[in-house]
Amino acid sequence: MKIGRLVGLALLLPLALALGAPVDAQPVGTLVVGLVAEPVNLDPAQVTDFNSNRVGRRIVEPLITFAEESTRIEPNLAESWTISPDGLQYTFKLRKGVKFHDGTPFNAAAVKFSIERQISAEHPANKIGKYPFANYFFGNVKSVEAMDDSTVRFILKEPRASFLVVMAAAAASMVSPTAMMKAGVDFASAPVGTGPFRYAAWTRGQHVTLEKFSDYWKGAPKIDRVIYRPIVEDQARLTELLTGTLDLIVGVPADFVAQLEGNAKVNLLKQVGAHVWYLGINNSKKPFDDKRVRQALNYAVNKEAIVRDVLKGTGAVSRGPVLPGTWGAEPNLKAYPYDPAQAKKLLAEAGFPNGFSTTMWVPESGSGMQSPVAMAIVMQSNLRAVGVNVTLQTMEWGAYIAKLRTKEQELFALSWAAGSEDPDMVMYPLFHSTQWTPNGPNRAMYKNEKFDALLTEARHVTDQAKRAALYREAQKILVEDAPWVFVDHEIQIAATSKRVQGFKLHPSFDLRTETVILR
Amino acid sequence: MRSHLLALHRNRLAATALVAIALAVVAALAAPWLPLSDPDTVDTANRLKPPGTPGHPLGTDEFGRDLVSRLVWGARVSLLAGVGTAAAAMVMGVSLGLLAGYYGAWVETLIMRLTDILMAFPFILLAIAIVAGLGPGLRNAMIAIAIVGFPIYARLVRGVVLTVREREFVEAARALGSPDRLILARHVVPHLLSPVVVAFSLDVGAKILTTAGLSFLGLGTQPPTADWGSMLATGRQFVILSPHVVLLPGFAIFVTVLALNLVGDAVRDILDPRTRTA
Amino acid sequence: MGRFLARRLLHLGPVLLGVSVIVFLVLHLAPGDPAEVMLGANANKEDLERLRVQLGLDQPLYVQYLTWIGHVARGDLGRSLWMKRPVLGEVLERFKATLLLTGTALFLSTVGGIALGIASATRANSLLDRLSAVASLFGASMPTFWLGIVLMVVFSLWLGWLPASGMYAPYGGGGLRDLLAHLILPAVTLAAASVTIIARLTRATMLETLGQDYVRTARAKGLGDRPVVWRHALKNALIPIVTVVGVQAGYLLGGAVLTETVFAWPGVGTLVVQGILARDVPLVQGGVLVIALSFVLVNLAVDTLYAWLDPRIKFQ
Repeated sequence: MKIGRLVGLALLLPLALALGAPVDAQPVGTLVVGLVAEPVNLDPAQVTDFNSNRVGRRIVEPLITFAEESTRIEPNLAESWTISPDGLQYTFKLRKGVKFHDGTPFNAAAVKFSIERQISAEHPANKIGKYPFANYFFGNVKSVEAMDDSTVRFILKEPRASFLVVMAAAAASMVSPTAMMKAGVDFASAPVGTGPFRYAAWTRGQHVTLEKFSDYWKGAPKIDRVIYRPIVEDQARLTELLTGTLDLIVGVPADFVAQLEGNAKVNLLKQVGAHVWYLGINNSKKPFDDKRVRQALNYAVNKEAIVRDVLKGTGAVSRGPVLPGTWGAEPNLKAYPYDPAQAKKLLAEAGFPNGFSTTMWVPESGSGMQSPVAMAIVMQSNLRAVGVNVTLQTMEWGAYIAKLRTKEQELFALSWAAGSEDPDMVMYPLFHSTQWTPNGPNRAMYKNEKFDALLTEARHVTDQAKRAALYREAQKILVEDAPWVFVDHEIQIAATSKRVQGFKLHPSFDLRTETVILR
Repeated sequence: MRSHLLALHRNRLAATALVAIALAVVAALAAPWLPLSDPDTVDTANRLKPPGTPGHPLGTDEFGRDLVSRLVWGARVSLLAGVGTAAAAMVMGVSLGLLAGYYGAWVETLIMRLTDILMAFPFILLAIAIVAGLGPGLRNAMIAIAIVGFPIYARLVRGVVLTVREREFVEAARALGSPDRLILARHVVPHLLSPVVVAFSLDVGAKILTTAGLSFLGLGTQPPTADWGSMLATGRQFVILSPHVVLLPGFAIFVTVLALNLVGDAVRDILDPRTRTA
Repeated sequence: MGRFLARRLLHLGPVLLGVSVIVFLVLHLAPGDPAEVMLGANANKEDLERLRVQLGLDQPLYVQYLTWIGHVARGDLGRSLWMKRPVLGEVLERFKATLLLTGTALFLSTVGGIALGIASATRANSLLDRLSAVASLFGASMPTFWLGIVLMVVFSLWLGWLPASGMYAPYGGGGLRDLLAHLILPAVTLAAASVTIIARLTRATMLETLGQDYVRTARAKGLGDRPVVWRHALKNALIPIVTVVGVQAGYLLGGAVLTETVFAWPGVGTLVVQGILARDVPLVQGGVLVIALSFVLVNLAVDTLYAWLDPRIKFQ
């Protein structure tokens, strides 16, 4: 049996060799972050997912930013701004003495470049990038004018009161024109901006490394570098955190939260995101064109049970599209408590005493979708209890969004992360009748003329108190009409090792690692 | 025939295995009439109950659904999908492999290059293609799995046929003017039995798991329909917290595959007298 | 033999062309195009149309394909639609990792599987045979991800012996030991399913050859058990074994995706899946072509081995 022994030895050898390999402790000054997927690229104007932006936004920054733990706007690369009385001209005063990572100065020309590259097909940098938000964010921009080196003016086609929020979006980040023209197509992989960290290295499939920018205008970060590692499998990310090889992870699965709460090795952070998860209803299709049917669905779904048992507290029950507690949110919205009897009654009134059959489309996964299939299974069971027989159809994300353009949807699970608390960023695209799919994302095919008028008016006034009053009125109409089943607002969960201090989650789903101090 | 039955009887293990398979099939077929709770009713307040919970002898899953009921109902889909697709893949693969190996020349080239193309494909890509082409559903998922699965049999069979083809007894038969059909049936097929039977009995388990993979892409069965593979796959988050959610369907697949293997070995012993060993 | 090899190499072209046409068609016929996936669920119509033009998706299908194949003929696999990086370099870099992982797994499963199979066959129906049957079938009925997660929890989380994921430690690593430490768990996970198939098949074919006339003759002539097993039976049993090892090599190459995902192994499988989900045609084409090419080469090697193992086999 000599052979057998040899074979055994050959199989054991690598194990013996590797077991001796020590697990290195983290070097001081290096933060290692576990991401749920690999970033697509690092130029926020050229991506649409949270994950890429979480890295890219460390390198480039916009003129306006959001305050800590809130989406209230604050000056950033722009020190101040003025708005013309007709709401068509926004003039920004830029911060002086700011430098890009490549040493070139940040100025009005750079602002003009950063925005125009996205919207003007003739712009020299238009061909070397692909800009998904060109129309969605900047379609309303007629021109960008550099008044002098530190003053820049945006001229709009139509007034839009939420324009300052648009200028705080990741896609409105400032890039170095010199660097971009030099790097060409490769710029997106290694952008140059004014942010707290600069690009250092990217080994695909393994890690992206950023280094601190010592000349950062707000003062250099307290850590030397951040390493981002894409680890798709939840258990792997968690294991690495618990064994001390990762410092910070996002996307902690709901069922692990309780487990981590009692763990002495980690800190758990929670933050409600500017996000809403909903079951869309096709309002223009029978029987859903009847308001009573839509309200019945709202009463039938046990949102509390979904949040408590499926999401395990990683979501807050939602009553409407706007995040509660923010300036535009109506505090006294009609609630649809879990009430199967009421649901049955409404269905009977609408002429469906025995219920009906329908289909529900659900994506397997997707940015901001939480646990779509599990949530759908609970909703399906809830709806069956009131006589609505739902056939689930689960789809891979790419196929799903294509299918949503066909307008054949009856019930569909989706979410919306506006990135801001401004109601215009949620209510207008999702419910204004000009945004009916395929023109925009109003896939519920919702239309209410009074509601439309309120929203349009709110875009034209710049006074926030007046806008708030209009949006509150509109939310009451909306919730009464029940175009969706409002389900929850996601509570983001991050876990860090004990040596990470000073880190806070942000409602825009950004991951601001520049505030971290390592003990 | 009598001696075959005797041989089967001698192999008690195989007999036990056969009984186990029969039981599973009967339970699956009788599921609607068995005193089981509804497999799809969600009761989130009672989720992840361990085995031994009153009313739920094997516990509940992440939605509070009864696992006994889901295992029995799941057997319907899993046995059909596992055995059906493996059998279809085997029939296709064996026939094409025989053709390729025995006739050689351009027939072989064509068939073998076709299997190359198919096998070089990432599985997920073919699955998406089938969503596009045929539309989702368990039947189409099974077609997809069978198509993806046949090349392994084709290559296996062709490999064996290549060696048999040139042996004396085949050449002798050919010289005597036996028709190809007869040569294949009498001289070639017996040599294929053991590798094909082994591959088949292992394949069933793999196919059950593959069906679950397809369900994830929105092909195959749709939630809340129970099948063992999907139960296993969706239970992945609970591997550590509530292992029974994963272990029970895993055990069901294991027993099925084990039983099929034992029966497979016995069948091979019976059909191919030369392999009877002490 | 030389002519056989040359002819088979000539077939490479049509096979790869066939693969590329199918990949291309599949990605275009599947619902959802790159522009849609890139823009996500919130896109508006103008942005979508604009991006389609930018990506060249407004061209007829055959024009898109011919443009692509024209570039390939000049050795240019194009750039990834999403990552913007040259596909060739990206794919080759990732392929190295996959090759290392599947190579190790194939080695483990072949050596382990054949050894186990022979041991079972020579002691058919013994306790060892039964145990190995049960153990290997257990492997076959456990999905890859499950085994991977269990191994990870046991060896990384509980015992702390091995790293949980990645290929190298992101800092301070990089040596051979670091690589080996990261390689063990994914390689064992990946090998588990193949070892079963190889072991069971080896047992079956060994039993068959051991029962054949010439082996019996050898035995009758007084040859001992070991020479019979090694010199006569094994060589003849090798044809199906080699076939199945070749097939397994293919499945491991293309099928390492799950293992790569569980262990964050930077292989080509995960790259292709990312590409498929993003409908990134050039990336998927590049990845699949490399996988297909290596697969075809493995098959060629298997066929060549047939001829070497059994000189009676003639290839036209």
